[in-house]
Amino acid sequence: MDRGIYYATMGMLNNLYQLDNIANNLANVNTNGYKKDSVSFKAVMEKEFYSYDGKTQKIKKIGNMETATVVDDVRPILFSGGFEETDNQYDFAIEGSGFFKIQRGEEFYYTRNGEFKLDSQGFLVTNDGDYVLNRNNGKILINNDFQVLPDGKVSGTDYEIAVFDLNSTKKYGYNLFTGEEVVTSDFKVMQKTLEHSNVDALNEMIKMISASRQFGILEKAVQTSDSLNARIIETVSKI
Amino acid sequence: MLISLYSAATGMNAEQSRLDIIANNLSNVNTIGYKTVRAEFQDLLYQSMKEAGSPTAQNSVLPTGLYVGHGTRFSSTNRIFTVGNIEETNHSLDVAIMGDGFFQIQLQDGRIGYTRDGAFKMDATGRIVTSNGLVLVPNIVVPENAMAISISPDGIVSAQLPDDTVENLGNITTVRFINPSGLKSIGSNLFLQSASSGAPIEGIPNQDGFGALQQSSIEKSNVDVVKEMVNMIVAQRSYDINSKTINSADEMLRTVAGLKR
Repeated sequence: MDRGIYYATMGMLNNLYQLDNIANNLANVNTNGYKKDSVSFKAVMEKEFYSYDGKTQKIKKIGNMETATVVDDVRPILFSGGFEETDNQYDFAIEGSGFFKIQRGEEFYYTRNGEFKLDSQGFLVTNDGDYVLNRNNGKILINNDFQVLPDGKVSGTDYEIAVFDLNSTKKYGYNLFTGEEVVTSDFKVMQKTLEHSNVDALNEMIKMISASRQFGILEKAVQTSDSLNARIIETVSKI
Repeated sequence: MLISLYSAATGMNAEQSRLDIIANNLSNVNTIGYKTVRAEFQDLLYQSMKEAGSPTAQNSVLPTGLYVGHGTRFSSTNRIFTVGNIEETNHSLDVAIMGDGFFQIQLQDGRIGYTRDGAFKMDATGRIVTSNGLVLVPNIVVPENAMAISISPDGIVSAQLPDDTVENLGNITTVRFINPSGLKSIGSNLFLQSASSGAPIEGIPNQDGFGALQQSSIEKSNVDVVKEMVNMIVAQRSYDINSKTINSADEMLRTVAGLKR
């Protein structure tokens, strides 16, 4: 049986997967603090090809062929989105690297989305009511008029908003990330500012066009393989 | 079917809700005491196909995983309580709060509502009421023969009588909330206390962080028209882009269906 039909199909599956990722990126083009995902592919199943030379009676190596591609990995691309100034004193953004530390139940999470609020007791919380933590993993109690300095210190209090960089960053969803904390000082906390999504719509649209065209081309490859098979079956059945 | 179809649909839904909110903000651009609302979004949970850190061979693990996201969701509407522009009027019962605070209004069902709309009127019995005829708390009754009413920055209401004496009519107090964004909007410029707003803290205007009252002024809506227009453009374009994703996914599905002739 002709193998091409399988290889082409694997490519088509990759395109579908890529489209799923592009769709997610584009759906979050207005999600503040969202980090886009990037998909990479790799070639697998390398094969060596040989030919037998009758004259010299030797086997000659022709070369290698990579016969299929699979999705290699997906990773969040962490560079900053654009910043927007707001008039809301509960909006925060981090310039540079780093994440706000959040407590949800007993678990810690990290986020770049600084659309914070106060809860009914005056603690700083996220959209989902998770506590924003200070350097000592405690909650942050805030007065009506407060200012946060670029290093994360809340003026007039002992609180310092915790900002950590992450290793092996993983997405959790709901604007949250998980990973291993790394101490960083390469950041600036900006009050009354929000960080937009870092999805570049143009880029994603182009990737989408390319994925869907590639999909069409591979479909032709599948059909060609298929018609070759049909011809073979037809010819063989006549014999 | 393709996940991308549904992801794109969540994106379109979110943009549609965003447009609804922008429309409401823009239609209240001249509503006294209106506070602008902002739509906020979150990405959805991720479906993991290969976990980062899972072993690939002895002593080696996957540095990054393989996952796919499911789109976005509309996570909250955040009312932004910045003070709007203050405009002077010639009406002595227009009162603006210059800073933090809400007026207390007695609702028909007995509960207390809160508002920043200080365009007060007088009813037939001389009580100070809102445009809807709801009574201001604490009740203040203006005598029939009052020539002029004055309201001090700290809320003392006094009336000038025909015999040139000044009668003290009472004090307007205002309330603050720890988290005003958590108040429940019930329309007609009124808010209700909720579990997340915290309990009202009553106080005297112009003291302890409570905003001063300014007579013959109203607080305009804090909607920033330019910003809302820009947001509208962004919402519409994003809607468009997400619909293109659906197109693309649809086309790919059609190709799949076309494979079998």
